[in-house]
Amino acid sequence: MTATLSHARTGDATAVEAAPPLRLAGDLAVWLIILAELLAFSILFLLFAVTRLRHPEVFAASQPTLDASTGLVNTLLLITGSWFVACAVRAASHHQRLATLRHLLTAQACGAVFLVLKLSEYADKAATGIDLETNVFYMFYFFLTGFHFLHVLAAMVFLAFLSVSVWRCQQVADQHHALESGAAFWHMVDLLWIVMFPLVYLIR
Amino acid sequence: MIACVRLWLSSPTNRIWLALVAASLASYTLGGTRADSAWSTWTVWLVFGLALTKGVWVMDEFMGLRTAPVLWRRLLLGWLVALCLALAGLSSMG
Repeated sequence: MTATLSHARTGDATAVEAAPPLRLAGDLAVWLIILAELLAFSILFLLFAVTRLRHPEVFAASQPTLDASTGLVNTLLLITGSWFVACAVRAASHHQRLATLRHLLTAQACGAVFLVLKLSEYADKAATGIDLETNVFYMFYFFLTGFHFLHVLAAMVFLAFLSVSVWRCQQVADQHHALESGAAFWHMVDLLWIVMFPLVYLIR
Repeated sequence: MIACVRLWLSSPTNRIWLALVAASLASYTLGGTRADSAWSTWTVWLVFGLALTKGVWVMDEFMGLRTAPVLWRRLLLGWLVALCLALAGLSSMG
């Protein structure tokens, strides 16, 4: 690890202070995956916005059928999940194994409730005969939220593996790097929903 | 009680979570109050501004980009700014 030194000149004296090293939290490979996912989702978001411009009447008729309250609850669940994941990483850096585990499990519970709410949303739509082929708005709705759903699922599996590793290990600090990688992936899922919520549910 | 709250708020992670919840409620309220009328341009920009702010908080505080190499931080924050600007621009054109 290379320490970064910041040099500050004050008057005639030159002060040399040790600054915290600049580093990516987690594995570089995970960050490259995150970058690719963000780019893929941004193409879908832009396509959604462009299609709304081309079919305003279809979007105006279909978008009010979405429940923004459920969208808000989902937002709060993912944000709270992110908070618990951040707390888990912090607890691991303080060698608090049980607190790390507890935070990870709570984050997964938030993710599980998110998935259940999303499935009930899909079931409601299916019950009223709405599916991917109904119109262009619902095609995007199911595709965007479904793709995101799969990412939440993947993030939960990632956290589940980490929970098992933390449970089995003696020194939780040994898992810190892996925890940071899992946390970065979870936060990416949260970040994508933060953009998707206003785009799909709010702006009409 | 107040001491407990102060202690809880002394953690940046807790403060950011609280701010994220408040910003989400603000976005939802804006959406709810304007749902029956045509979205004015400023509301669209405001909602995406809130999304951008939330995204920056998540990236800097939760993902640790504040202490990441400058190139990575600029790349990811640049992505978020460009995306929110593009989406707000496209949405306000409708």
